[in-house]
Amino acid sequence: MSTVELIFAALSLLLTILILSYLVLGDNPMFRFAAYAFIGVAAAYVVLVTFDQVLWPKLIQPLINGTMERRILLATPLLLCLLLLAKLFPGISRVGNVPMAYLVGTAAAVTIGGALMGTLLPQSLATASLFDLSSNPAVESVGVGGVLVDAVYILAGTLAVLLYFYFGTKSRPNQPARQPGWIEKIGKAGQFFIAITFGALFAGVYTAAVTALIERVSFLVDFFRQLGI
Amino acid sequence: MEEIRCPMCSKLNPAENEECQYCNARLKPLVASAEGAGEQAGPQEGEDAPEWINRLAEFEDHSGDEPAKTAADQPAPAADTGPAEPGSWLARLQKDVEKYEESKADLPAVEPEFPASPAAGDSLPEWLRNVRQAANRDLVEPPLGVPVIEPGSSEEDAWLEKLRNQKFEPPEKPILDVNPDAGLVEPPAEPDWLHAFPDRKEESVEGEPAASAASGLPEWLSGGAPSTEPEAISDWNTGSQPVQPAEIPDWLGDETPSHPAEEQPVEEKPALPPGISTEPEVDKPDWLIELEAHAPQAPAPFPASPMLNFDQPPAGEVAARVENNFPAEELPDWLASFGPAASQAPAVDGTSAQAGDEHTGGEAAPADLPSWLRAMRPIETVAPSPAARRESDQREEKTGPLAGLRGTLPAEPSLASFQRPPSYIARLQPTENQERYKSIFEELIANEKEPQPTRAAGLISPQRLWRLIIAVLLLAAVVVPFVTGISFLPLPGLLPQETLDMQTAIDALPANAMVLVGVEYEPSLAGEMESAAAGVVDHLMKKGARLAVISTSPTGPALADRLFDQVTALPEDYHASYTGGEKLANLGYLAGGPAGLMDFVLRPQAAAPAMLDDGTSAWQQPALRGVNSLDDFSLFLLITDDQQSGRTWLEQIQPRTAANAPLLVVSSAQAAPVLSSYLDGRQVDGLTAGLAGGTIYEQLLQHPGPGTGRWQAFVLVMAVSLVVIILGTAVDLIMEYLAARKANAEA
Repeated sequence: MSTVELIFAALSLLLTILILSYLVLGDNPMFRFAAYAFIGVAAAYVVLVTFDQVLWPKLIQPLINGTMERRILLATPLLLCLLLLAKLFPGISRVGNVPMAYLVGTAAAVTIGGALMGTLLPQSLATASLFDLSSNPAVESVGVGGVLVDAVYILAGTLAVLLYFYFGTKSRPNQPARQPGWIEKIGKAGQFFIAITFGALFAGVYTAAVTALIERVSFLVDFFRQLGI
Repeated sequence: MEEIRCPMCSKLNPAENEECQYCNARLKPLVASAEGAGEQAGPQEGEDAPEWINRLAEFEDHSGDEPAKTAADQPAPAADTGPAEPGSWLARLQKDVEKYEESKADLPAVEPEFPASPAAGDSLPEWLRNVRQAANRDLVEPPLGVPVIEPGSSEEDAWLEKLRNQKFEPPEKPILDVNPDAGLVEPPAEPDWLHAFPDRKEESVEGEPAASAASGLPEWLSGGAPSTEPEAISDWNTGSQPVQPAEIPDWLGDETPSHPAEEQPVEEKPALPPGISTEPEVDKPDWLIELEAHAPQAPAPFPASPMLNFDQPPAGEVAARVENNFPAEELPDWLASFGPAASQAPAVDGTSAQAGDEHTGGEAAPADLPSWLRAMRPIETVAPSPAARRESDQREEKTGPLAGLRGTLPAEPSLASFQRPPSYIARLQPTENQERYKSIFEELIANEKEPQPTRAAGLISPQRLWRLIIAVLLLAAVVVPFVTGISFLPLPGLLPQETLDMQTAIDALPANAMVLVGVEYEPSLAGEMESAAAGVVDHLMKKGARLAVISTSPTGPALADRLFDQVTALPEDYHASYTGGEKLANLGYLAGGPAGLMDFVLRPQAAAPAMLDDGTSAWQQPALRGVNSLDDFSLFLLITDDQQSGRTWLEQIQPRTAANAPLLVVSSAQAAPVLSSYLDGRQVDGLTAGLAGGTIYEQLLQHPGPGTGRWQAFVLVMAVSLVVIILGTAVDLIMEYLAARKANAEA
């Protein structure tokens, strides 16, 4: 291990211990120091990366060394960047609404189009295709019955969850508005599927946290082993 | 210093001022100068005038607020001052009578002091002598148009008998009884010297001859007084007290023969200046002629004063009788000329009002008050009083279809009336239950105020203790496998289908296949993601695929370098081409999130033009040589720890990939449940998640990696965690059961 690697390894060890101090001491200055240092370093790193990998190679350098056509094309993003800086000053912050509107509009259009073409339609087709036994390769392994059970289970879970989030009610005279009975019952079943999904997500989160802990302990053990301790 | 009060603004001014120093109104009336001018023709005060007239003059001088003087203070035209002169002293006489009436009730009976009879002849003014002469002439020569009645004839007897039999009927209201609120004149009170006369009304009315002998009459009255004189005086006195002929001054007695006694109501004498006389000025007094000569121009008829404003019609019967018995032919010419003007001027007495009636067809024309006089009226006469408002409710509609109707609703009665909104006092009237709640609430507040004994804080709370215990257990479960090297559980033998599909997809890659690797995880989950992705990346390297790394996270490129460094750290021959950058190109950070990713899909060379390491053109490097579009990539590998970033890649990349280019996903354990749905939809061709998935993939490759080395710790920690969860749940259930049992026992 080189000296630089040793220094960085020692610094990593120190910061790891400071973070783990939260287990024993709770919220303490050592934990906060490590947390603040992480946040600061991460923010600074983002700024540097943005300037080094975005602004400089894609805006400033072409404006300096690029052709005239390239410069003209870059005038629009440059102007939008300058207008976006107006958001820092309350007096002229309204000027920054133009690039903000452009950013939000573009992001919304891309996201909605992607969600429609990449999630909604393919997922709907996937749910329906489970009943296509001819094209389902799982028929050979689990049989037709197994495939149908799987398809019905997924379909029932999907519909139950969708009905759980159905908040429409029917108004009746002199009676409080409430959902139809069959929707309420299916919605209760949808809660079951939602609980299972949340349980899986929580298990994944806990697993990810345990894995991070294991990685840190492994790092400490490896560090001390390399030191010969 | 003597001061006088301005009649206009009521402010005090020095006596020598002729005009008010505040409003420039004239303080000394022009009449005063006229009097001065008339000293040559008329009797001088204190010298030739009777003493009682002097006293009246003095009284007038000191009564500055008298309406008559107020009117005289105005710059009246000189033409009006002539008639005003004889009227002024008569007006003073009226005022004297009024004042006497007002003080009569309080003062004891005092013997009236009659003024000495003025000296006949030179002391009389010329106009008065003319009057006397005209009267004497009228006695001899009847006026034109009047039939001559011979004395002792039947016609005379009938006329006289008619007058004698004509009983005086006092009017319902005095002739000058006008509404005081309207600023009109009170009925003339009897002067004190009239009260001294014995009551001879009955005799006068009955037409009996006067009881007084000629010797009893004074000298000034004894000259040719007709027998009807006492009757006339009694009628003029409205029957209250007959006037003793002996007490009438001689100067007045000279005039009485020309007028029947009953034709001299006191209201007639103060004939106020009615207007401009068109009669020859020979009949006017000299002082009047002189004043007219000094007048700049003939003004409009003298405006009505408040005391002349009649709102009510004159007492018709008496006034008509007086008018009939006081023909114009018997008046002096200059006085008779006032007749037409009097119809337009305000009616002062019944005579003038009657004259006005004749000219206006029986209706007395309402007098117009001048603006300066309206301004002087008391505010009470202008402001609507409640009574006036009630009267306004009965007003007559003048215009419109409701013309002639009374009591109609006004156009905007309520809009114009504003009043303070009523104020209501909201006083709570609590019920018994509210009172009970109030007492309970007060008890609660009182209990809160009492200090409660504080429980002694322990050195460490149970929650913190349990947290420490769990932390120690987990740390021990992690450390023990690394320290001891003991394998508590075997490596996973169950191979998920998605992991097998991933292996199959990578194995199907051709040599030098172009693979796009997306690194979309954060440093906090780098340990898990490196354990999960190390086997897959190593498999790609083993297949000799060219790797192009891109990330939409700023920290992604650095984490990618760290991942590849860990993978290539293992001593393998195929790693050499990746450490030199021949088959690995880190394109760095792709700004813009979904938009940047879409831009990369459409124009990869423009979206990520440079290498991360040296900034050189990435697409000229050996790793990316021959790649111009997204279709040139043979496989797409996404390494993500977040479902959102994974879904972005799936939504933006997957629909535009080639049909034969598989999309593989390496995710963290927390994102796997969501991304696995894309696996079921055939959008993802292979999936491996978390440390477990990485370990399984390493088992498939038979190439141990970081996942395999951490598997024992992972399994042990998960086992301890499971035990802790089970024990905690059991303890919680037991405590709840004990609490419920205790509660039941207490119940």
